[in-house]
Amino acid sequence: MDNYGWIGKFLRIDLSKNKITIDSSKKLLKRFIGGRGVGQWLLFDQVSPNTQALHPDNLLVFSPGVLTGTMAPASCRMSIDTKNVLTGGVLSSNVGGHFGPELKYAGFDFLVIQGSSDRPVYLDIKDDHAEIKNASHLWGRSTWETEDIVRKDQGDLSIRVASIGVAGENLANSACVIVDRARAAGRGGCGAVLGSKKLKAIAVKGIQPINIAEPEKFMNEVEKIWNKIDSNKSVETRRSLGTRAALPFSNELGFMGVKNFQDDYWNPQKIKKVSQEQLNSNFEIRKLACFNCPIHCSHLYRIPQQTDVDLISEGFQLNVDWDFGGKIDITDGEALLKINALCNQLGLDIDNSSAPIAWAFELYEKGIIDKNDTNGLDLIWGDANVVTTLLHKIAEREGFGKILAEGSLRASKIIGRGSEKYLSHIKGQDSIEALRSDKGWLLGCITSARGGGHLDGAFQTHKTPGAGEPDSYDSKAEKVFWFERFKAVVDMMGVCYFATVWSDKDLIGPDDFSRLFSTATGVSMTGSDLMRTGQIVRNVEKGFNTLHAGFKRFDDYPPERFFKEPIISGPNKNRILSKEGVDHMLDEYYELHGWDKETGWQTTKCLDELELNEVKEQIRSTKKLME
Amino acid sequence: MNIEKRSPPIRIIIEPEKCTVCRSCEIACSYHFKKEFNPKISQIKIIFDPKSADLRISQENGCDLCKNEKVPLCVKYCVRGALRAEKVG
Repeated sequence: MDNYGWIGKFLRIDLSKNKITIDSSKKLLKRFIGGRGVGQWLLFDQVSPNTQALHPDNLLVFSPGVLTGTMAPASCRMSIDTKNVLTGGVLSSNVGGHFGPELKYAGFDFLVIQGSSDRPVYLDIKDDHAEIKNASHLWGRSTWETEDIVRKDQGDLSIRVASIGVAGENLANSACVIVDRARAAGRGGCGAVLGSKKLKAIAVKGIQPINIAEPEKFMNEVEKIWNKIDSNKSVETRRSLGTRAALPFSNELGFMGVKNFQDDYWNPQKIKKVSQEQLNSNFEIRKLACFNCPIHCSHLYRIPQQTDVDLISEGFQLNVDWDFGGKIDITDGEALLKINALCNQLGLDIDNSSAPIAWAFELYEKGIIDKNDTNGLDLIWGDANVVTTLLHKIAEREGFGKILAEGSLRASKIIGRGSEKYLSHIKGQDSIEALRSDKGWLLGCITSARGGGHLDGAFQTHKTPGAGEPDSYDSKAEKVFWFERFKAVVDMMGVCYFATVWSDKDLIGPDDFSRLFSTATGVSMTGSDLMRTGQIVRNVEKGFNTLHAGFKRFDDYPPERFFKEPIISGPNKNRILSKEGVDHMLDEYYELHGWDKETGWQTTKCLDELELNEVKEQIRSTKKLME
Repeated sequence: MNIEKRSPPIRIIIEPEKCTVCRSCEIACSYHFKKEFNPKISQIKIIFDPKSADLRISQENGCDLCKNEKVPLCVKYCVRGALRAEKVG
């Protein structure tokens, strides 16, 4: 294996010992390709099941993919892998922007960070060299201020910064890592893991090349895929409206949770009020893209403020509509823009911070909590000012915010009073998806290794050939089994999921990745070979969850309230989940994996077929390996 | 081959307001020169300040308008047309 596509080395940073070493990455990359594959293996291999997520012995792996930084379209992505603060299992959080490519130009395939500093530090990486620097002047600053100061200190606007805000410093479980001011590696509390290590930021700048094994052939493949993306109709819509293009349509299909999932249908008049067209016409400065992305689904806005300084911020994607629109009923697009910008500045994941807030609003509505609990705040649906106050309190872990910063499952154990009836979580992490309408979406979310989320096996049935009817429990398992392996491939490649067949059947698929990968690296792998590696990674994650979090079949179930409360309005009115239906899908899904149906655990046969002997032996030693 | 030998000769027109800051042009340029991906050697530079939203696009002196290509690669991979080739004269 030569250094084509890959760089050939990685950085290991021990913050406890203030020590940095450079090592060869070849052996790891040969087996796990890059990105999430490498990150997940290192977690499995090097973190003890007894290690808590915020303990110094937890690892953080920043890992771009093998195609990241090349001309492969949308080659912007990087995985941040660590033990999940909320679930105790795995976390792989994925982020775009420009940081991942820059890390490779700096000469490294990935970073492995261990230990914990006794004072705030940041990591400064430049061309084969890294330094742990004092960050006391950055501690307490927003992510935006941190980026500005680091760039100004070094006099270079092209430095890329990944940082945490005050939420991460204060170990809020909903803290994320922010890159390029607006790109979030959210979910799982990875910002809190950086905070626990007193690692405020990582700055990176590189001037080195990524070499390609067969340059002409690689560029021929790039051109074909580039043209395929450029001429795709769904791409044209996303260029104007981002993922928010799907908002009205997806509401009709039941993908929009309302008032903490009391319903899965938002009044269409409210959707009109927050439309992307209005934001574009009122505030847009320019279209914006991640590194080398022909889809450019983002927008840069200038929003006049009452102060002299305008707010300049990237727009938001569909998640903000789910999180703060439908679920909290905020119907003011400008307010949603400002809330999104605030979360980015505080370093709060929009999903994991909005979910406990929505839950608290429902508790308040039902009289389970009152102003004595909320520090005097009146939690009335749609009040953006109250939401803003709560976001600050969560980031500061102050007053009622300290409880909400735990995530809603742990918060319910603090509050009690029957509040758990209104929870929506999967494996301990707040769940943000509406799950009652589309059973393909449902199965992917509940089986996702990191604890919910629609970006692993979940798919939208209406645009997936051969997946049956959205409301049927049939034909879903085989598709989830396919998409979860494919997503692992996408995350090893370092390409955005939105540029693939997940978002439109005519975009990038496994065979396209095979040709890009093989011509880039000189290592021949078919689409099937890549999908098998995706299955290997999925099984490494499954093994980690079994060993670290003790998850079993029960933990793959959806939130209990969706079995008891039907959707109350809209085209999907009366849809409710059935236990028999969910069990039917899970049985089929485990069978496809070769996992034990009763426990949900892995089997000797499945792990032997994937040659995961290390995983097999560790699970066997805890008596959780099934024959 | 230089600009005079291309028939017809062209120049690159830059419209920064159309730029999405994706920097595909930078790595396409580095491919042209050395068959590698490396913004450092690119002869087209995108410098963007997200704080002020100021954007500067510069065509450096080393640009040869992509000899041996039908169109300069930076133009070819600019999906918004912020860079476009125009015939000279």
